[in-house]
Amino acid sequence: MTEREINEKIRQAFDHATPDVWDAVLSDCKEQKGRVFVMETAKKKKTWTKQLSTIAACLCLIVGAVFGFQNYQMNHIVDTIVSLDVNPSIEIQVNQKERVLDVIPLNEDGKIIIGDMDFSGSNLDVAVHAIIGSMLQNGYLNELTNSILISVDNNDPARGAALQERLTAEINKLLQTDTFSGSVLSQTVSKSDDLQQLAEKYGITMGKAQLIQAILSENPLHTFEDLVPLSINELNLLLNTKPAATAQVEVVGTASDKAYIGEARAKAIALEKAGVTAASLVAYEIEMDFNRGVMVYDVEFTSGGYEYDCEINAVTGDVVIFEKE
Amino acid sequence: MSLFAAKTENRRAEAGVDLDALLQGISEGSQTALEQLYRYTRSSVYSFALSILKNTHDAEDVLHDCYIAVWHGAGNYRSQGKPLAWMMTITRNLCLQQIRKRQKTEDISQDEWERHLSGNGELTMEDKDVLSACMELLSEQERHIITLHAVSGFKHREIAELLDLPLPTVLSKYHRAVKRLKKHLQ
Repeated sequence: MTEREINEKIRQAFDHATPDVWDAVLSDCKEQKGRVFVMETAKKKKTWTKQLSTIAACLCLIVGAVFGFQNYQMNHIVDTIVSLDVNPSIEIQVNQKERVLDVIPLNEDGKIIIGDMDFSGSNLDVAVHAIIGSMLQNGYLNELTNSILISVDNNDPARGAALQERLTAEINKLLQTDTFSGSVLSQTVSKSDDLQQLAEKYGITMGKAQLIQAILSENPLHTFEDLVPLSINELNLLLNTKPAATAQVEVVGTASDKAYIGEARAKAIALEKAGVTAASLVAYEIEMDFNRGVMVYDVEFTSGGYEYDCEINAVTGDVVIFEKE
Repeated sequence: MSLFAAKTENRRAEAGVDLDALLQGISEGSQTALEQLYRYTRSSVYSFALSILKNTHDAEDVLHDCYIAVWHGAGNYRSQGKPLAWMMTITRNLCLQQIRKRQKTEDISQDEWERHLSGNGELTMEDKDVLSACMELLSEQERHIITLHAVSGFKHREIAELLDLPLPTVLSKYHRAVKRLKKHLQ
């Protein structure tokens, strides 16, 4: 057992052992010292005739019922669904007041992120901060995979867009760390039966399903099934090469390609395979793509009257496809 | 005792959470900011308190009182990039008050400790073993050092400043404690 493992076990044990005293803290933090708390004095009851009292009581009941319903709706009905995808996929359901009703991990990684945290009744911002913090701590967001997708599903497009903008700014701020800067993709979800069915079939969020559809609309050679296992960072890299697809998705920052050999190395491998020098190139293009289950650099160039099309495994540097015409 | 001269590289700060900004929000009366701060730091506060008091009830009281103190005192906090160190100082002061109240630290009894562990459904068998080892096998200072490093992510240099101990002492106690825990847990 390494020192790091021992430290991790200690951290986990104390995390689990720490009691939750938030309710007691909150009830003792209603006002800060030095702040003036104004209490309203009860008004004197006026004398009413019996008839008026009855009418007033009825009105109260009606108003109470209306307000009660509205109150119930504001507190207990799901108003917005925010989903966060990295590879962990998590759905946060909130009411009109942006208080959390439920947080649902949609895959095993999502369960690791949530752990034993209970967000019921918390503010949405609190939950988002904690979830992003956990993703960073658990290494799901780092300099190699720096992309996150935020999808907001709200029936009111204006509210959805405003929330999308706010969360993007907030999460982008959280991902400006000492070691890396994040890339935040965000979108509002256009709910449809097709999208819902795809999400359910593959066990992903509707947000990720919508992102995959946007990429597929620009690259029909891939299938939906091909792209499901990819992380948001990998989808972000593919999205970069399909500018039209980004019309539906807002992108802040750049997807990390540090897990891969890099364009310069891929170019050198392709040229070496072709037996040509960089100086002899007439035309040259390189972009990231996905083929046969792996991320590849697609390198196309012309030299000595020949056209070359080369695919280099982005992780290993192996030549996957080499064509010369 | 001087607080940390260097940047506090605790796990929460690495996670991109701006505790300074939360304290600023709290000073302006934001309960949301207080709740965020609480969620990010409660393990650090509780583990440090427990390592000093060795009594779960008293540590829980300190955990509660610490956030009340932060709520009322955030306006006095002056950012020097070491918010968690400030909170640890509050925690330690509250623990010292607790100890003064009862003249000496009342260590939790073995029975009480086992009852506490078995009553907590959140704890795995491994958690219980780790916690018991920390409480029983380590000296008081070793326990402080281990919890500040493992739970709160403080560097040894920062711990030396916080506990007012020479760095070589912190390092040797830390390594001795890890060695002992390793032997027990393997």
